[in-house]
Amino acid sequence: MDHRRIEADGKRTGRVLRIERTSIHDGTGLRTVVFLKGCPLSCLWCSTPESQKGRLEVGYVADRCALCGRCIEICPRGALRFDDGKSRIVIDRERCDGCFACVRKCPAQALKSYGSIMTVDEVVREIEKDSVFYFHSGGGVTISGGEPLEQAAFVQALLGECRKQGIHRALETSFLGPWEKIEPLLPLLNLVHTDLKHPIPEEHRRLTGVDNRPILENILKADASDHRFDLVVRTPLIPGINDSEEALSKSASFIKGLKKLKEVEFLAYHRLGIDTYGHLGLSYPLREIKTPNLNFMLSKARLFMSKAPGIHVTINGIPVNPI
Amino acid sequence: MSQPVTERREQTIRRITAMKKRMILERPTELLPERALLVTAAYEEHAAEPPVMQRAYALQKVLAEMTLFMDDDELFVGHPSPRPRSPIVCPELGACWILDDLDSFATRSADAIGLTEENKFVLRDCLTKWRRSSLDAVVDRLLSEEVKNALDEGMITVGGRGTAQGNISINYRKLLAKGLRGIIGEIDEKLRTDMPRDIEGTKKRTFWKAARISCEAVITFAHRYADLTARKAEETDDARRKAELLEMSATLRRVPEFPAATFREALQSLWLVYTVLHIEADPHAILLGRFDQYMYPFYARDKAEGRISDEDVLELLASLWIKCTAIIKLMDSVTTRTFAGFPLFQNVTIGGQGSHGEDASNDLSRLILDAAVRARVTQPSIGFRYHNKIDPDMLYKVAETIREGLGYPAVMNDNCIIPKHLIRGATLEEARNYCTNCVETDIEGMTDSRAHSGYVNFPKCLLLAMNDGVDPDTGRRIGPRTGRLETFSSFDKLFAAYETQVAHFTRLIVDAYDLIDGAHAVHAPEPFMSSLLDDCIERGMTRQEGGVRYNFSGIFGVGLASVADAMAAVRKLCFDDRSVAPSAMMEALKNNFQNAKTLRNSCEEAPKFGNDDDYVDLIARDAAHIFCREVTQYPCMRGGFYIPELHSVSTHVYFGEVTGATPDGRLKGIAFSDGASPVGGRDRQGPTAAVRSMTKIDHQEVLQGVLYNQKFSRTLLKGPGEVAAFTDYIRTYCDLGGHHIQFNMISTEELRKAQENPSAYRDLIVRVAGYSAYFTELNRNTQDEIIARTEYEELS
Ligand code: SF4
Ligand code: SF4
Repeated sequence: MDHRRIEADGKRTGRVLRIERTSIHDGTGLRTVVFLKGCPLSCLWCSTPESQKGRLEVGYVADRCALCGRCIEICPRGALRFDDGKSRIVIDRERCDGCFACVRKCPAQALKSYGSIMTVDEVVREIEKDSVFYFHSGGGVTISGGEPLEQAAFVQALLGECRKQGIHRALETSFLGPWEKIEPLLPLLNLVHTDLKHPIPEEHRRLTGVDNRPILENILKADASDHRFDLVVRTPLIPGINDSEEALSKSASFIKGLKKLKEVEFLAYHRLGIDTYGHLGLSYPLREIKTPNLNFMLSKARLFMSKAPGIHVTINGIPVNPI
Repeated sequence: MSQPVTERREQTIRRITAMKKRMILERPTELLPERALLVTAAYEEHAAEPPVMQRAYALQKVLAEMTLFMDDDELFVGHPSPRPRSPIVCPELGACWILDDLDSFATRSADAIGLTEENKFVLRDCLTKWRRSSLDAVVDRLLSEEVKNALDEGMITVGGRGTAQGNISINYRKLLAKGLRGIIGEIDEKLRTDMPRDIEGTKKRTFWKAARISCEAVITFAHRYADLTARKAEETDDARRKAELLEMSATLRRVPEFPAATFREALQSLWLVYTVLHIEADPHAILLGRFDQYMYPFYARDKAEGRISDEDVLELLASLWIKCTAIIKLMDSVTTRTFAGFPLFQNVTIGGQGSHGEDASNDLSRLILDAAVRARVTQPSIGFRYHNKIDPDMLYKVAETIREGLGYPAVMNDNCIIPKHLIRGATLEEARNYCTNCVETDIEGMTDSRAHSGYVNFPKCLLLAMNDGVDPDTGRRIGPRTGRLETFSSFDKLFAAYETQVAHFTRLIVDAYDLIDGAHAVHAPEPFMSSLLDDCIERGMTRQEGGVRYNFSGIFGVGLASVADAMAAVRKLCFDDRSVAPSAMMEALKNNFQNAKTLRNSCEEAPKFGNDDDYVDLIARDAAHIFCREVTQYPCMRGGFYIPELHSVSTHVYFGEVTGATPDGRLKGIAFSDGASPVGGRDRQGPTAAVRSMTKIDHQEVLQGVLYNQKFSRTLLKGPGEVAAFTDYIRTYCDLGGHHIQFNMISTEELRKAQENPSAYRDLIVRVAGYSAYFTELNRNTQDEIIARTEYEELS
């Protein structure tokens, strides 16, 4: 749908997962975060599995379902049926095209929609609602994912529109994508957040499904560009997965060379997305790993800091004192 | 004086901990008859005097004979009853309801108050004598049947029926500058020069004499305390305590009789007077006013001259907080059910502007915040006055204090409030000197605004508007005939019917309160408090007669968000979408949505206030507007006029209990929205969206104030960057014209409680990966996960 070429940028459409207002963790000040659908990575610890697929999806909350069958009746694609024991609804995700007729029909709010098609103008209208809050706080919009580069043209139009309105612009990207898509976005940005999930290519592939070399290349290229944005590098720390001394010191040596770097942020692994996996009929890959405690996080952050002295480090946004 | 800092600090902590333990934490509540007996005896001795003299003699007798309380660690003294946490009894105001509740005080579930059988017997005996003459007996005879019906049906409440009314601040500056001797001088001057030979003149002279007797009685009271502290000094062997006691004794010989010269004297002077205001009539919410302003000159001078350190001030202020919390007020069982926790609504104002509009916050403002955090008690709460020129560091400190989770300071917005006082008739300089209640604001020492004159049940007005004035739940006719939902051709017709209902019940409150106001003027004058309010002495009138410079009566509208949500649902389902027949809606409401699950679902899915959605937000704005228009048209008995407020204290719980199902999907008996805040948990677009909805209401025209209570998870304010962002958020709320905002911080402890007792925490919203959810609806694992996360962030 979004591949239709429409001249006016404002009419261009994208697949938006949701728009979250009043975020204070995704860039400076109070921010509005636009989450887009679709991501080429599949990280084992992903906390928003509903953002992974590019198309619109239906979620099903079994314990709310009244088993009334109305959704089955209304579905124009025949994508819904009861399971054999008539104890729950089964969704044929190949057939479903995300029309959400079932979601609107369900009397028990047992079905939810993940994503909607929005025009640039519609998204900007949402963003502008909070523009009064950006004024004192230096906040603005953050485009996040999924992976925004999957809808680069839409993102470009959106950022361009926000620039016209004088709104501060941040992008959260994995930097996985062709450089031709990345380049045009850079002059439109004030702040870029990117992830360093694992510095070792084989490990990165095992954990996320993709090679990290093109990512690292793009980060270096973007960092070397003349565009004036700040760079924040984030690492979600998953105990036993990407917290080894080797991994941290390899990350440190890569990060040390970045000249646009403002800070490195370690994020504590959490399992808050676990219910959503269930709603999408997916199983949760890292069941046995627990949320790390503060001491664990501090020791890892300090280890990293010893390898990359002088770099500003935070844990979930809280500054860690230099050693 | 030159003690090492840490040792000095430990001394403060030891003193504060000991006082708090003895006066609050380990102190059982107890009802004692002493004041009731003394007042009754005084009234009997002076049976032939006019009421204002009887009140003065009663105060005189109590102050001369009551048991003096003093804690071993106190640095300044005064308490209204023989023991901490022992409410006083005012038989002259509430004999009937106290008699009714006498058997349940000790056993009621909320805020039980110990009462021995012997004391109960004595009290019953004493109160019975007042059965026909106490204020509540008089009021009961005055109110019309129509008002009494509306009260029974839970359409309205009316204030001041059996108790004195507070929400008032005396002129502390004048007290400290002149002393009571100076006030007596003013009275004598009036008695000498102002001698009109008519009935008005006689009334004035009677008041002046009563005021004079009261002021003298307070001086005697201070001297009794001076004797007590001197005696204690003799008895103690501890040299340091002996010195403290001797200094206190000397102070009590000077103040409040004479002007205060030092910070300690000023504090003792105002506190003793504060205590007496409780003894005189025991209203709730005697405000401490702009403490950081009128006390600052004393603080600054003492500090410059080396008489006091910041640690000394902290110690004194923390004691002040404890002494405030140690006072409790006797409230009836219905009230305590919704006001549990003995709130007295005392309040201290900090920050704000000086008389030239400059930033008035100072070092004392900061010390007040520190002291409140150290004392960690419930009273008094703090109102912080925000304005555009506020020192950013001050605002940051306020945000940090909010994070502590005490529930205060509340933020009051000068940009919105100062113009209100201009509209209410003050000069610019006076307006800039306003002080705060919990939401209401008054100009210090010159306003009697009777904040709680009455409350209107908005959602029930809507139910009547849909049903021709008949309560669908009970089938009883209680409002004017305005047609039935089935006959309305458009939503506007429904809204017009609603307007008529609101107008009707607003007028009922005015009718009732005017009578009550008159009863207070005749039967319950307060000559002592009046002598400390501008311009009672000058005019020769008590505050009850209208002697104060600015007079108002406040009416509260309750359940604004609930009624807006309900109207939006009717508009959408019955008029715009036409998916629900009006008769089906009425049937469902009558049956409390039984067998109407789908309809109720649709009701719940309709737009809700607090999500930045004009569809419903503008209904809320209009509902607020018509209420303001209705209220402000009425003049009040003491002069001035009625003013509106969107706040409910906890009446939204009571009104909810007595109201049937509403079209927003709410079931019968469930509480309504609090203040002007969105219905708990229905604001799902995050705090900025809620703020935008809130400020579509025109706060400027709501002359007495608009409450916004927002719940925040502590995790949101974990680091300095977040606290700074929080200050920006506050600034923006004020830019948008908000009147007041306060924050509840949710801690892990509370989340655990919510796990154990989900029904009490149904409103609690948390952020789960990227979305908000009701905490109690999440499964146990996710709840644990959120607790772990919150805990982890609290550590940092
Ligand atoms: S419509 Fe909703 S409640 Fe009915 S079967 Fe489908 S999912 Fe379940
Ligand atoms: S979203 Fe549309 S296609 Fe998919 S299951 Fe629901 S009704 Fe069928």
